[in-house]
Amino acid sequence: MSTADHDIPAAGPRTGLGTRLWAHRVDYLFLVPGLVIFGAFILWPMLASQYYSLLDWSGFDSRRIFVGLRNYRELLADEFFVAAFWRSVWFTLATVPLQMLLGLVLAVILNNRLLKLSAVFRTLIFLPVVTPVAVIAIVMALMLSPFNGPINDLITGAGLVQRAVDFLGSPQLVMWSLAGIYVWKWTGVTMIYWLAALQTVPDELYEAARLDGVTGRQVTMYVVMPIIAPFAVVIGLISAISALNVFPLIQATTQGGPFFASEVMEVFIFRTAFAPPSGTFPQLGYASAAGVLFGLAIMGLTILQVLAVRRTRRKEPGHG
Amino acid sequence: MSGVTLRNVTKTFGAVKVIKGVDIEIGEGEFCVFVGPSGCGKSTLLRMIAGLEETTGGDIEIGGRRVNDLDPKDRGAAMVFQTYALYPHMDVARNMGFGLRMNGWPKDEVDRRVQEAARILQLEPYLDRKPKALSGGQRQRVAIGRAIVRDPEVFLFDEPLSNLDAELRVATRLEIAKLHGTLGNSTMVYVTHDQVEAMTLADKIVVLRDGRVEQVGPPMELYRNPANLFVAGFIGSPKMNFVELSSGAMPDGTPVAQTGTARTLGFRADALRRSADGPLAGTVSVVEQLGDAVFAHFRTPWGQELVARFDPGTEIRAGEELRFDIAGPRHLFDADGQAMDAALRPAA
Amino acid sequence: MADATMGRTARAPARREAMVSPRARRTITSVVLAVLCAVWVYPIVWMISASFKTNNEIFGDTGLIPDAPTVENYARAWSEANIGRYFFNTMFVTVGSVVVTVIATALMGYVLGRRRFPGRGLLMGLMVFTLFIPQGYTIIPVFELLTTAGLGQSLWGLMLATCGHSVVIFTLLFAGYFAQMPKELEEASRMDGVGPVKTFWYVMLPLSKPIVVTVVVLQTLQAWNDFLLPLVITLANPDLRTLSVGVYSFRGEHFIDWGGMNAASAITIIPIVILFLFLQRYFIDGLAGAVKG
Repeated sequence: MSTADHDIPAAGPRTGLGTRLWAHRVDYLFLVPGLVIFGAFILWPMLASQYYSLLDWSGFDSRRIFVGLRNYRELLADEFFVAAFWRSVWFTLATVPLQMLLGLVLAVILNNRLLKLSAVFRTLIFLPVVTPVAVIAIVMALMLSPFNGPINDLITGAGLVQRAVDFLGSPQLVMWSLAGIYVWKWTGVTMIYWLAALQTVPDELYEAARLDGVTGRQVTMYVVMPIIAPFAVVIGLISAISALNVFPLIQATTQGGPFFASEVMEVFIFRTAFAPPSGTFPQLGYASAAGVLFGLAIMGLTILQVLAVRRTRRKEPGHG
Repeated sequence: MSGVTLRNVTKTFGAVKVIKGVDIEIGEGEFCVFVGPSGCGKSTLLRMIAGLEETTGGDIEIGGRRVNDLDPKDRGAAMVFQTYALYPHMDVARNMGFGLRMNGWPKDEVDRRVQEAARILQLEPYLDRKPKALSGGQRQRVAIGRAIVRDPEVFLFDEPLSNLDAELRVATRLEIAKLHGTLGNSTMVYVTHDQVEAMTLADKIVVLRDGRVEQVGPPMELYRNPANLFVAGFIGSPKMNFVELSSGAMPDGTPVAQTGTARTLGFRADALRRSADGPLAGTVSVVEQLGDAVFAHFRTPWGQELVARFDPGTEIRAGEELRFDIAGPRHLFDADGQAMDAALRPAA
Repeated sequence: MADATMGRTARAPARREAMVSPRARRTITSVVLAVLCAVWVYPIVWMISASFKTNNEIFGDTGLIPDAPTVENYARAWSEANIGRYFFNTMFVTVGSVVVTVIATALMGYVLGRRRFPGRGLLMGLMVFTLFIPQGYTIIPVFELLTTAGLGQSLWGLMLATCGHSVVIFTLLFAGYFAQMPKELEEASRMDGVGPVKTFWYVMLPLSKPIVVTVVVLQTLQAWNDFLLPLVITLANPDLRTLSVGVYSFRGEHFIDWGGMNAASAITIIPIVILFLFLQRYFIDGLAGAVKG
């Protein structure tokens, strides 16, 4: 009575494949638009990238020469690639924990239903999330400008530094500044994730704890945190993946400069494929190989996290 | 001619046979109830008549037409679901008229039919409400209205009262009974696990167990002459008392007259009379006062719980020792649980 | 009884905090948060304010209220810097990709969520596998595909490719939502003789409104803010630029016109911020669903 195949019940194991395909013909029709988009812009590009990565190919109109794994060998010896790879890793490690912690603190405070303005605060904190990166790049260039930028006016005026700081123009500082901008832009999303997690804590638990005479802080530490801890893995995964895809922010703000000091993976790929330094050719095969290595790294990270999720879920039989 | 006929109908899900050869004849205008414990296949059978489940073997006929290979919409059947299955985003009128409109019926005709159904079901004040704004009973009436507007040959009800609370269930039950009267000669097939619903609504009850028909007949026929132990235990409330017999004697050795080779003796709670020298003895464990009757549950010397009915006002206390005569109808069953020849029963 | 005793003993240390009443604590929290939020949105407010200032005034004084508010920046940005055209391009790409994405992902999610068709497992596997693929990984073949199809230099190509970004996540959102809908709704509609296409359009799609709105909002945000794809596609054809790329190029081409730049930025964020303010509940619910699911 309550079997899974309620839709087309004829689909028993003994029915021929042809019959089953025919029975589902409307379903396949429904799939067509989605499959076309998925196939054309996700699946095919994934496969094609692997192939392109084996080519010496300098432009969309030019000849493709099969070179095997040469691109990969050269990449691993290319100091710009290696530096960009580790810069991406550094960027992720620098931003994700901060973003998660900040988002969590904000979420715990704003989750208080008695706090009347919490919806307003939430909206304001979320505002940078909806602001396009190209705009953020301009605003930040102005805010952080060493020439009468408001931030520099503030810190020199307060006597914190002697001379104006070139936040985005100094190779030593640029990644830190970008990390700061990134955290500012995206903490709103992390906060929403945590708020969603907090909503899984039943109200009765807070009430029971209050009747037991436990303070708000203790409730948060010993009751709420253990319940939402499993969500940390998922939120961490999503945050890490988006930190690895930081191309728009960096391209718009510094274009990887100064002197390649903020060139992360995707900026490297973009430069190699579409914006080669003047006098050189685009290297589409080479860029594809970089993309494949980067994609593999991200997939590895995803698999690690999925395993971690499984593990935490298994630890508490009550969950999932 | 709009009866429903099932001939040797079978159904398998994968390797599991859930309907094992069912023959049922439902006459035009008849109210037929499929009843049985959960998992007996009654809902599957109904959904096979509706065309929502494919039939593995046998024939299903509606109004003399074989409908096995017809689409649900072409079978002339309308269904009322347990969960109502109302479209939450449409108001009552649109819910009822949706099917007709989608099939290109003229708007006037759809409106007329919706109005008519709303009148019959007293839903007129609610026509522009969304299902969310209705009570459970009203929602169920809308679901019935959706069936009525299609003017089907056969109404199919799949446990339509299960999601209602006890009070509404009784009220809606009455309305369905009235509806059957109003709609004249519509055939209705109704599935429930509640034997009270079956007894009160049906012209004909089909008792199902494990994918097979146990007995078919009018309610009182099933009550009076259950064909086997299962039907005897399923129909009637409280459940029939059963006592194991061995060579004509109860477990404590008390002989029971005229039982022949029967292995089980069955008698209903109202068949017992208090009698100082009766063959059946017991200690009262629980007394239920129902107002119009008193049920005393008692424990026999061999540790079995049985129940006896007393007239209202009878004073009985837990712990009391009682003796009974089996004065009312007796039912005898053989080793296979089949009812034995009525000749062995003393006239009631 | 044991509980009551524990409650009594636990009350003693709690008295320390009782010096500040919960209400007062909330007020303090609100004030601290208000200051934080003011700092948080200051750059954006500053940008809006600067868009009404002359180039001289922007760096001359740091007050937020312009001395002599001017809309000249907006006029200049709109006409000279072509922001007007970019605005139209962005609208086209956004609206088009939202329509295509909603229909395609709702249909696919519906089938994946409710049907057990041959090949379903394979498709689900492929989709989950590609869930976190970075854009940098796919941009070269996407560009080549569009060029081969003759769409490499057109808004249509840009619009279609923009649909690809989140097609997997949206499909999974729809699939999850449709999977938990009662099957009786479809059965009722089948009994009513309503075909699968009409059932989808009149029953299932309206019922998935929360997901539709979420997808509309997320895809709008995505299309409006998209950067790498429009940048690559419009490298050789500035007329096709979207606002994001337009503002970015503006900075390269008129790097001293800070007022114009701020005006262009303001034009870019205003529609999306308004949309967000109106639909923020759906937006936040949609994001939240991504974590809970």
